[in-house]
Formats: sequence, structure tokens, C-alpha cells
Amino acid sequence: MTWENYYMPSSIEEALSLLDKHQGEARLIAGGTDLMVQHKSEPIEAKALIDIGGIPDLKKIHEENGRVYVGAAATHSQVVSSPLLKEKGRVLVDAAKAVGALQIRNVGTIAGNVVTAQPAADTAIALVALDACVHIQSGSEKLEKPVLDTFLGPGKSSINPSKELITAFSYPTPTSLERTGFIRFARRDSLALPLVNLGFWLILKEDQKTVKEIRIAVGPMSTVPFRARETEASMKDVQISEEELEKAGLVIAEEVTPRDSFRGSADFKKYLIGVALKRAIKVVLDGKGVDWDD
Amino acid sequence: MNYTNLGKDTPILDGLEKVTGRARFVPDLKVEGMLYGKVLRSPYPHARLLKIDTSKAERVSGVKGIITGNNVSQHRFGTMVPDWVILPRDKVRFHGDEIAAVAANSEEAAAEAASLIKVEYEELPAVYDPELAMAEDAPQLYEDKENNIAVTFNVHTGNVDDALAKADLVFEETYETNQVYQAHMEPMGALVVPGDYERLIMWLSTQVPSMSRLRYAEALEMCSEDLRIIKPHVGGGFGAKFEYKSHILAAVLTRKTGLPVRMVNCREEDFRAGNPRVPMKIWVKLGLKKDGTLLAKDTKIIAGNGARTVYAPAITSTACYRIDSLYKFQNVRSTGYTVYTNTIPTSCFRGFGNAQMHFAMESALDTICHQNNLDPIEIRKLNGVTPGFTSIHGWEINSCALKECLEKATQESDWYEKKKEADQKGPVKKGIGVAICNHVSGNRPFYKPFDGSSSLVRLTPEGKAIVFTGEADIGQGMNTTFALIAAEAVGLNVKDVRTAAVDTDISPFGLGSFATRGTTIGGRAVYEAAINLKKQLIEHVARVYEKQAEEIKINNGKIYFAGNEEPLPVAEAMQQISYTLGGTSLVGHGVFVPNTVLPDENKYGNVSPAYPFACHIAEVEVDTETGKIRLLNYWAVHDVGRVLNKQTLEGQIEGGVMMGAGWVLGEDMVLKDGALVNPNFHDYCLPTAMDIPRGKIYSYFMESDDPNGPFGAKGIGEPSLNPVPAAIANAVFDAVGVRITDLPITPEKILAGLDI
Ligand SMILES: Cc1cc2nc3c(=O)[nH]c(=O)nc-3n(C[C@H](O)[C@H](O)[C@H](O)COP(=O)(O)OP(=O)(O)OC[C@H]3O[C@@H](n4cnc5c(N)ncnc54)[C@H](O)[C@@H]3O)c2cc1C
Repeated sequence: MTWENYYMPSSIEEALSLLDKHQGEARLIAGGTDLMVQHKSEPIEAKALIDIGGIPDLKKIHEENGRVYVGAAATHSQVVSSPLLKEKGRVLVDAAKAVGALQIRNVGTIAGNVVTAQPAADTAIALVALDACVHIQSGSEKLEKPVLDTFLGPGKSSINPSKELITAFSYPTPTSLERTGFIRFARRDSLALPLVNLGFWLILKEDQKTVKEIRIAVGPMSTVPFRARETEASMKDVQISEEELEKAGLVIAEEVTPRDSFRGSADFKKYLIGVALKRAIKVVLDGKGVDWDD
Repeated sequence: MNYTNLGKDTPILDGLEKVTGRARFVPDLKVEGMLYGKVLRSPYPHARLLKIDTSKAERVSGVKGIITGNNVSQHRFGTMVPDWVILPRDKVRFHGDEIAAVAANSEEAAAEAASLIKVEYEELPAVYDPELAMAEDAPQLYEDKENNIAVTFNVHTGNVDDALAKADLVFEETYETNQVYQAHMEPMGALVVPGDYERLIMWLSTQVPSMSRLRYAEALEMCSEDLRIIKPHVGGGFGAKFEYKSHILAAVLTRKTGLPVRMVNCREEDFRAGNPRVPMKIWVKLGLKKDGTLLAKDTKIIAGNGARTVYAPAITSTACYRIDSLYKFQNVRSTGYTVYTNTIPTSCFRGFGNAQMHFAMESALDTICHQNNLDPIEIRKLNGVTPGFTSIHGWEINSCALKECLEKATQESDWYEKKKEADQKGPVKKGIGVAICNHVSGNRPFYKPFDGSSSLVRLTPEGKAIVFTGEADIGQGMNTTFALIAAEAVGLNVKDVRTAAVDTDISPFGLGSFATRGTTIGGRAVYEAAINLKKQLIEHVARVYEKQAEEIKINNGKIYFAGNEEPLPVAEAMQQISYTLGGTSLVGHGVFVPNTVLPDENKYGNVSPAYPFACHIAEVEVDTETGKIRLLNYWAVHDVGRVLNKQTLEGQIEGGVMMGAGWVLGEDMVLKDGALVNPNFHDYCLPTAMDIPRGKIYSYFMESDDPNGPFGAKGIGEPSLNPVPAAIANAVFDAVGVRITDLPITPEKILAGLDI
């Protein structure tokens, strides 16, 4: 272990002042499910760890002034069991359900998932689909930016966890015409990184059938969570039907550029993402949820 | 027959210790002054060692000893082929090959020192594919092994060419089985402690304590009596935990430093240098009559030995000919090559080559039935061996409930109804598949000098019995089974019986846990010892209580006399007996030498005292859009001879089925330039609890009462896995019409088969 101190602040202010005090030589830790794994292969250079898991304000999931807020240190399990999100953030709930296994979900957090910046991080994909806003504090400064802008490359985030604290993610409370969903395919049903995953948000026209606007986030299709903007454009003003979904599946398969790996070939992933899109959006047709593990 | 202890659900006797974390395994052991051992492994698949410089490593604080090929004996030894040295001086032959070993007073110091050993290499061309390794111009691993062939196995009985010429149907196909990892929970390890009289005490995580002792004595150039092997709790073996290089390295370091050394693989090492399954390419040609009668079988197998020989040649020969005694063949021919490659040495893994061949044979039969409109259940009934049959290789099938297994599985799974099911709507299709298997319960040629087992059962003055055996409980519950057998044979209650940990200073020699022999051979020796003890007990009771021996009965811990006399607790009687005999315990001694013979040059001879059989039926669902296969239900019907303990039988079956399912549905050791790409549980995808069948794994037992097994019992460990790959592959074919002949069956292969 390289660090000398392990802090457990109980408020955001305390956490910020600890970061301040250590002048960039401390490191935030939430569930530690990424940090401790990284530490084993490459020791973390930090004089102190600041554990934000005991800060109640960072764990809140609530609605305020027309926006849904999810605290940065909310665990995946918390997200899964939130009645608010079940109704107003289905994509996030289904993504959180997919993470690791129960033990991992009980401690792993959504901010950790975002800052680790893996191209197929499940809840990160969901937040990108929601075009969530990241609320950041550094010293007395408060900052907001779209979550997609925080991803710089594989494992590279614009957030500096030795200086900046994510406090929450937020997005506008969905109207009755909005739908979201998440799907993933993996080599086994638990404890596996996705072969492909996909989150979407869409808003329908008044007819309840035609896409007014859609956002599709997919992984691992690039060095960062990927927005399939061509596919999104192709689906605008389209009335959803089995045939149209087939078509959209082909568009997205063409749009993405995954890599070959021992987990699956690039062609296989391209093909699968098409199936994923089709199946995920079927939710809009039949009104039922997607059971990604089924 | 009414049994007091058998046929019930008896939880394993050490279960509580294990689930509460009190049971101690090799990695938990610690002794005063103990050093930590670390192996330096080759980063190249094939390289000449030019220079090894340990000077920097020696200066690391806490380092007590370093060994390399330059300061250890270079004599050759080995398990089947003398191609092992303690550490090589000339070259390394696989990515992970041992180059040096360090002992230091902390794990960190040992790891640091190992990383500071400077090795100069000259990289050599390498070969990974066994078939390519046999080519004339392939890189050579050993100078004296032409075409990299370690061992060739040949058998030809009857006249295969004639029979094929006369056959109505001739079927030919090539199958490939991949390399998979046993994934025992406890990685391989040893603790070696210097003992008195210059002896070494080795605490080993092993399934073959007595055999390891012989081999390590050879490696260390010691008398085997000067090695004391103790086997504590073992966290699984599945075939991996036979003789192992690191055990020897720990012993050499102990001798060098005079201090205890504990050497335990980290998980990555266990992947990179364990003893994974022998990969095989299997060519099969079968000749049949129109009605499905099997006339001839012709096979050729090329098997990967890896960079040195562990047990792959025995596994290859098993793949070549064991299945010939599942069916009533009259003409068989097989050639098997065990070939060196620059990859991890391969060895035993549940099924021992028979599993690989079952994938080929049982898949082939399925295809033959499909192509010729034959019934896959009936063809197996038609050709399967029957009680009292002597197979083409002289194997004496005594008990055999193969037909009953087929019938029960067909009935329980509702096979014929499910087969009838017409075209299914939607992208997800259901399918059902069958496969059967045979196996052995002991394998005479595995250890050439002898076959059999012996045991001691001691009855203490407190009336408690302790079973001593050299056969190894490695987590499968052997110790509980031995206690049950002894309890039933003497007439005790199993709660008063335990089995001692194997300690070669005390326990009899035991060949070990392999070939599904523990219950049948080891258990029969325990039975004989218990019967012998019972006889002594009755004689002494008769003497001390002045009764006729003939009128004494022992049951459930009590001694019964003729008439209405109150039964006497065994504990009370034993106390009185011991008072008359200087406080002694009674010791029963039992030996079982099975009626097996070493096969002759034509591979003829009965190799096992009993043969277990099984029929498996798998029901799957295949998503034709994603290629994903899901298990729905699984029916496993086994001829176990006699149910000694229902719970451990079910445990073996559920474990065997899921182990097989993991193998067939995705487990794979992936090499890139000879290096393992996925040496961890994240990338090497074992099934988890989420991947078990959506419905259930149903286990059923047929009690065929084998004349040689204790109370008629036969083994279960390996037959629980043998039919799994083919049963699932056949179910997949039934679902979507895609025949996969190379394992694993991945979604990508399914989609390719569907032309997507
Ligand atoms: C066995 C296993 C399985 C897994 N499976 C999955 C999976 O299926 N899908 C998936 O997406 N992920 C998976 N993960 C990865 C991991 O669990 C998730 O990424 C998790 O969300 C990380 O959260 P954490 O709280 O544990 O992060 P930590 O490890 O505590 O932190 C990760 C990074 O985020 C920084 N950080 C944490 N909180 C903040 C904050 N509030 N502000 C600024 N920086 C912060 C830390 O300094 C660190 O750099 C798995 C991990 C393991 C060990």
C-alpha cells in the first residue's frame, strides 16, 4: 500500500477540503471495485485515500425542479431498487442490474463506473443515452458538463479524482412520451463484461409510434462509449415497426467499428449490436420491459 | 436390503469445517521460520537459456535461497516419460516453463528477487498445434523425439477394413476438443518442512499422495521412506493435482535453506502452468448395418502433450480404446499420437480422454441416426453392452444397467414427445439430445507395478472407529464415503466413524484419486478392513461376555445377543475388551486386489473391477439471432451399482454436468504466440450459478449391485461428465440443425452454421 491515510468524510465539504489539503496527492475511492483491481496490477500513487461511501448527500436519488438526480456514490444495487428510477430511469436501472454480480453491485457506484471510463461500462452507457449532466465540484468551484464529454479514451476521464469530486448526475424528468431501455449480450449470465451493450432514450411523437428524437449509446465499439448518431438520424421521424427496426439494426451494424478480440470477432459484435438495437426498442412496441438476460 | 447408514443423504463429514472457514488447506498452513517460494517462469514459448544471473536477486533483503538449472542436478525423471528435470539448463519449452525458484522470508521479497533474476535467451521457433508439430520441418522440442511424438498407441482387433467394406453405412467425421482448465478452487501448492533424521515432511495439495512420494523421491534422489507426505484438506483437483514441478522445487529449496518453504501458485500461474485438459483432434470412421448395428470403428487421434509429459499418453490411449467397451464392437482400430508442442503440459481432467472420445462418438451416432432415420435411443440399446458381456478388449462387464439408464432417461425427459415437437415460432428454438457413456472404476495400466488398495480400521476403547487409507479425499467426499462403508460393514453409526487425513507415516499406500476408483477399489479395501475388524470384535465380545460368537449381531452401534437380552453399546463392550488387552484398540486390516490384468500387446485384458454407465439427456434453447445457447433441463441417469450417499452422488452429477456444460459452451484456453491470453477468472469464463439450467438437473440412480464394489457400489466422478458435451451438442443440433464438431460451441459458430 502506498497511502498513509484513509479518510472517511461524512460531508461533501469535508471531502472537498481533504482533496484541497492534499494538493492533488489524495485519491477518491467509492466502492473500490475498479481502483483496487488497478492497484494490484499498477500501484496507485496517492498519499491518502478519501472514501466517499459514507456521505449521505452523495447517495441520494431524487427528483427536483423537473430533473432527476442520482448521487455520484449511489451503488448499482441502490439504483436497481430505486422506485423513482424504475419509473423514470429504466435504462439506468437495467444497466445497473447488468453490472458484475450482486457483491459488486452492492459496493460499486455509478460515478466510479464513469470515471473508470471503459468503453462498455454499463451504467456509463446508460448515462450517455440519457445525455446526463455531470455535476462536479472542485474546491469552491461548481462545474457541469455532459457525461459524454468526460470520456477521453480507454480508461481516460476528464475528471481528475485527485482534485474533482462528482457529486451527482442529472437529466430532465421524462414526459409520458419518452422511453428508455438497455440491453447487453455477454459470454455468460453474470460476472462478464458485455460483448456488446446498448442504451437508448427516445421521445415519441403524439401518435405514440413515431420517433421524434432518439439517442443510442453503445459499447465496446470505440475507445469511449459511443453515440450512434448516424443510426439516430436514420430513425428520426420513423414509425416504429418490426421492419423499421430490422433496417435500423443494419444501419447501426454498419456504423460501429468494434475490434476483434478473443471474446468475439469484430463482425460478430457488429452483427450483435444490430440485434441488440432491434430487441431493445421492441420495448416501445409491446410496452414491456427488456429482459436483457433472457 | 436394509442399511443403517447407506442410501441416505449424509452431509459430508467435514462440511461444517469447510463452510465455516475452519478447514485448513495448504495455502493456510504456516510454520515457524517458514519461507515463501516463488517460481520464475519463461516469458517465451521456446528459447535457449544462454545465461542466468542471480546476483542482483540474491542481494534482495530476506532472500534465503535461489535455485536455477545451474545449481541443481540435471538427471531426468518423469511420470510416464523421463522428460522432466528439476530446472532446465539448456532451454525452456513453454511460456510459463520453470527457470528458477526463490525462497525468501516474505512473498514480496520472493517476488522481487524472482523479477531481478537476469536471464539471457535465444528465442527459438515454436510450434503450438500438435498436428503441425508432427510435420518434418517443425521445430523440435526434444532431440530424441522424432516428429515431436512422445508416445504412439496402436490397437487393432478384428478386421476393420473388411468390416467397413461390408458395411451398409459408412460414416466419417473429424472432431476437435479444446484445452480447458480444471479451475479447482484451491490453487496447487506445497509446504515442505525439514524433518528429523534428514527427512522431509511435505504437506501437499494432491490427489496422489503415495505416488507423488515415489516420484519426488526419484526427483530428489532420496529414499521414498525419507519423504513423509501429508495431505490436508484439498480444494478440488479434477485431475490436475498429480505430480507437480513446484512441489519438487519447494523441496529443493527446503533442503538448500534448511528452512520450511511454502510454495503456492497464484491463480495466473495455475492457469499458465497447471495441467490442463489434453486437446485432441479425432478422426472417426464407423461402419454399420442398415439397422444401426455397429460393425467397425476406425479412429486416429492427435493429442497435445504440451512441452513435457505428465499423463497425456495414458489419456490418449484411453481416448483410443475405452469406448470400445461401451458398445458391442467386433472390429476396432485406433492410432493415437501424443505430440509435444510449446504449450502448457497437459494432463488428467475428469473424463481422462474418454470424455473427448465420447464427444466424437456420441456426436457421430447422432448424425448417423439423423441421416439414416434411425432412433438415437434404440441404436444405443441395440449396440450397448449388457451384463456379463466380455468386450472386444477383454473387459468383463459384470453389473450393467445401461439399458435401464436409457429407459429411465427417455421416460423422465419425455423424450419421444419432445422429439415430435413441430416447427417452433420465434427466434428461440428448443432442442433435446442424448448421449450415453461408460467408464472404469480403476484402471490397471495406469500404475504398472500393481492394482488394488489396502486399509486399516481402528476401533478405539471409546467405541469410535477411525479409517486409515492412502486414497485421497480432494473435496469430493471420499472420507465420508469411507466412513459410511466402515460404519455399515461393522454395524456402527456413521457419526462414530471418521477417516484420518492421509499421512504416509501412518496411512497405507494408496494409488490415489483417479480413474473413478476411490469408492470401488479404495472403498472395497475399507470394507474388507471393517469386516476383519467386525470379526475380531465379535470374537472378543464372545470371550469377554462368555457368549457364542454365532449369536452375536452388531448394528447401529449396539451389540445384540440371542433372546431378549438388552443390547450392549459397542463403546461399553470396547472398553471392557481393551481392559483385558492392555488398553488396546482393535485394528482391522483389509486388502482388495481386483481381478484386473495388465493389457497384453494387443491391449487385451480386463482393466477395471467394475464399469459404471450413464445416459444423459439435455434440453436446450438456442437463440437463432444471437447464437446464445441456454440449458433448460438436464436428466442424468447413472448406473452407480449402489447408492452409498445420495447427497454426494447428486453433488458429483450436478458438478460434472456443469463442468461439462462450461467446457462445451465456452470455456477455452486461448493462446496467442504461445502465451495464454485469458489466465484469470474474468476472461476465462466458467459458468456461474446464473448459467445453470433454467429448469433443473435431475439425477437418477440405477442400483445394479456390482459384485466387486463395496455393497455393490461403482464410481461416479468421471461418468458424470463424459456424456455432457455430446448430449448438449446433439440438443443444439436438434434445436437449430447446426452440427458443431469442434469445441467449444460458441454463439459465433452457431450463427455461422445458420449462415448469418
Ligand atoms: C468482478 C468485477 C466485475 C465487474 N463487472 C462490471 C460490469 O459488468 N460492468 C461494468 O460496467 N463494470 C463492471 N465492473 C467494474 C466496476 O465494478 C464498476 O466500474 C463500478 O461502477 C466502479 O465503481 P466503484 O465505486 O467501485 O469505483 P472505485 O473503484 O471506487 O473508483 C473508480 C474510479 O473512480 C474515481 N471516483 C470514484 N468516485 C468518484 C467521484 N464521486 N468523483 C470523482 N471520481 C470518483 C476513483 O478515484 C477511481 O479513479 C466490475 C468490477 C469487478 C471487480
